Amino acid sequence: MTEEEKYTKREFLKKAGLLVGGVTVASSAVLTGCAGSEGATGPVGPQGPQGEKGEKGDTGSSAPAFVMPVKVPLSKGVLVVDKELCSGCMNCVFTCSLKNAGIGSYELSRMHMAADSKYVFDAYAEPCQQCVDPECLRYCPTGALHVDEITGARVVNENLCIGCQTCIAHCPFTPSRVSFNKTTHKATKCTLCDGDPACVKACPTGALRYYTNPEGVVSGHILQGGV
Amino acid sequence: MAEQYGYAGKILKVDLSTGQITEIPSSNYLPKYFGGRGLAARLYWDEVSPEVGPLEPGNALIFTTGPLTGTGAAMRAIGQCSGKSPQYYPKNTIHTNSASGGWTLQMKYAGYDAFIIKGKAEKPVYLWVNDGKVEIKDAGFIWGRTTRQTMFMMKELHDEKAQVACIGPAGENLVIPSVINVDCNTAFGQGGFGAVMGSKNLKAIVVRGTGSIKVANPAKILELNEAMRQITSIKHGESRVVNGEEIIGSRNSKGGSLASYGAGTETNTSEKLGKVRLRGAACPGCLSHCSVRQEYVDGSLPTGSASCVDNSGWLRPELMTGHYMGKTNWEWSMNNDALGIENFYIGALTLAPISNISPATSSLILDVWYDAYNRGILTEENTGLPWSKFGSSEFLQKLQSMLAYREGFGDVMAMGLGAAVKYIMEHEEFGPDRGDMEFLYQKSCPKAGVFGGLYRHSLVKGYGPGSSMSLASLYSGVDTKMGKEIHGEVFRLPKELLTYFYDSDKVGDLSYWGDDLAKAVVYHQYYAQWADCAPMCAFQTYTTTFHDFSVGNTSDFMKYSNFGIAEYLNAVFGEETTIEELHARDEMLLNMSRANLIRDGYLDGPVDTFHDCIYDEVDIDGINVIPKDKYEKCLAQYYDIMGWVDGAPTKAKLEELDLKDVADELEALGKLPA
Repeated sequence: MTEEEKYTKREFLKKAGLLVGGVTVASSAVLTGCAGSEGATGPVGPQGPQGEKGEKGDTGSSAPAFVMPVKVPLSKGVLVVDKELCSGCMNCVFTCSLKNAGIGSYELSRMHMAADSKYVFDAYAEPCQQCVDPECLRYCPTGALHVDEITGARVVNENLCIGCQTCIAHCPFTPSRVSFNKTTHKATKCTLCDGDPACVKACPTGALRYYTNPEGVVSGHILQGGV
Repeated sequence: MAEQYGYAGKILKVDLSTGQITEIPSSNYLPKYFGGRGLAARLYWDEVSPEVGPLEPGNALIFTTGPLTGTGAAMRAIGQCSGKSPQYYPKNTIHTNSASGGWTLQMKYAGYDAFIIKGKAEKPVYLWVNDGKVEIKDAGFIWGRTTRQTMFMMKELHDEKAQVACIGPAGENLVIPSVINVDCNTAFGQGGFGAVMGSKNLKAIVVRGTGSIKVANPAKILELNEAMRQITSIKHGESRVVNGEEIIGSRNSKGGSLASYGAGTETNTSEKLGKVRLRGAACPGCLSHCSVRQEYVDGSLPTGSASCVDNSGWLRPELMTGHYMGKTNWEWSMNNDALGIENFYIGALTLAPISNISPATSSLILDVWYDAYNRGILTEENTGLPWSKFGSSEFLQKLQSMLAYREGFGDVMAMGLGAAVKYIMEHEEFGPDRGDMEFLYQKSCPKAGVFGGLYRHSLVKGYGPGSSMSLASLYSGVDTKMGKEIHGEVFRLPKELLTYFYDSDKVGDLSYWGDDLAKAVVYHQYYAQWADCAPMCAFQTYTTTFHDFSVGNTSDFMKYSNFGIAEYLNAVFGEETTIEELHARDEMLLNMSRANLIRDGYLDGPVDTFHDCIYDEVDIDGINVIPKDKYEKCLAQYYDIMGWVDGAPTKAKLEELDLKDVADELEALGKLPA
């Protein structure tokens, strides 16, 4: 395998950074190509390589030098999942897509599912962690990703989004917590429903909860050096 | 139609003999035939001729979804599999059964309302359906593998998020009680469609869809989902007053109605097994959570998950085991702890996903075999099975491998119950008492005619011949005690609800044979038709509806229960559909289903009757449960309401229901009443 072929989609986009940012068609083509070449060694979903669960560690070191670190206010709330209680029923997923996209869909839900291959049919909800140091926001080339003033959620302004999917590639979690609407070519992500998350209400087991703190919650990805 | 709500828009047709892949616009069939069972009935009429055998290339494997599939409506992640079933005896005809899970959702998200698969591939193949792109690919490298291996390999090869419907060795070897596994979680379990798929040399159908389904009123669906949740589940930490009593959802209680498994706990299932850690599992959009995942703390057994059928059939004696496993196993497992449910549990857990045999069907059949063993017809010598260890892990492993690989006596069992019984009766090695097999068969499959299985609920519960979904009736056998229990569960409805749904508050009584029973049966068929066409989970139709009506109040229940499926349809289509309109469509679809049976020769033999031994049965109180005269009177009233003569719709009736082409074809075949 050549050095180029070892690149996963996400690594490629990371390296390429803003260079492919504005070219939606080109970046999509790159995604498809990489996914195909990865087929022999491991599955690559449309949202990135399936690798280890959880945080992949600090990606700051591999970041291009021209991206300025940003310090954003902490989110005032975060969705957490009790994985012992979560049955993987996906009511949160459908509720999210119906409420926020108005249609029934896996892909347009801002709630994601992860499967543990140890089990057959094991899946649990994976909400956005509203990171202390949001990589999605840091690498957004247009400022579409910003912090909501009321909830502190890291959200996408779809008017500014150019559909480059850089945010999706830079999310430190698998699956990436940013969704992509292939019809409108815009990124979309959890907004915490303006402080009243519909997914939490829809959860039939009580596995999904919404923790809030007016001072801000420390969660998700944190760059080296701490808060 | 400016905006297409509820449906994906295309039907995929694949001919494996020629490799031809075509797309049919759904508008040819929908919304007239609704979806699910109704759509399948029409596609079967168009695709499968009466002469074709179930395992011949001309048979079609038909997968259908409904307008609620994929819309996010709770408990509607369901699809149906239909075709000419090899399990029916002595005549084969259409059978429809449902499976839940993500596979059918992905089907719709990939852009298809239905798949029709015909023909036979020259060598093993699988289908890869990726967002409207369809490929027939070589399956040589997965042929012979278990369903679990197949699923993981397909996911690794194609897409982690793809869903896989596949068969295992049993399906490949054309074993009749074999299933089509759906993501190894659940299965198209009845009808023997694993064998149909195997007969087409089709190993798997891998589907990945990233589309979506438009709905007219998403907020209304969310509102209905929440109402359903209020009825069916109390969250961990949630407090709710139910019938004047405060209930607090605990970690160990349940997410949904069925699953009081004790999520996140470690339990000793038995001394032999040691500690098992249990976690809930559910199909997409389910509020009830009948599945369970288990992990053995000491690693002595593989970690796995049991689907709703495994779970209720094998794991939950207090709930469903009796219904599924039949009287013998039930009492026997209750009485004999050493050979109890835990042993079945291992068998189901470790073998069902591998050997690809339906645990529900095989447990029904097991009941017959075990009775035959007790009567000396089957012995360890003439079968090679360790009957003295019946119910043990050893027994089950041997049985399942013999069945799946057609080894020895497994080859006889793999013919299907009816044919196997006939085989035993014709062969001397099974001893002088082998004639008793007929009685055992009739006891287990009490319905005379093309298919077995329905108890009295064929009238009260089921929707006429050809149904797979009347689960209690399919598996209850004729044990009157068990029949009463099922009946008690199904008709625990308070009188006001019985009146609301069935127009009579007396039909809940097992011994009631009044004149309004036939009308109640028709209503029940309508409701069941909605549930199968919309479609929704077979378990939920009866569990959510009937088990949990006490949670919440009755007016909520009337409005939001499964019978309130009309509300969901209104939310999806944005049109006000009345119950009367739905009933009119149900009537048409019931006649369509009936037409299939008639064309396949259903009326040539005994029609809608029971074997004589069933009429003679008395329950523990000495009461004749199905008195022949009362049953026949009720049946005649039922035919009158349906407008049928001798069990067949008249030409005028079919034309009135906008099924003129069906009427014409039946008339040409001379199968319509004069």
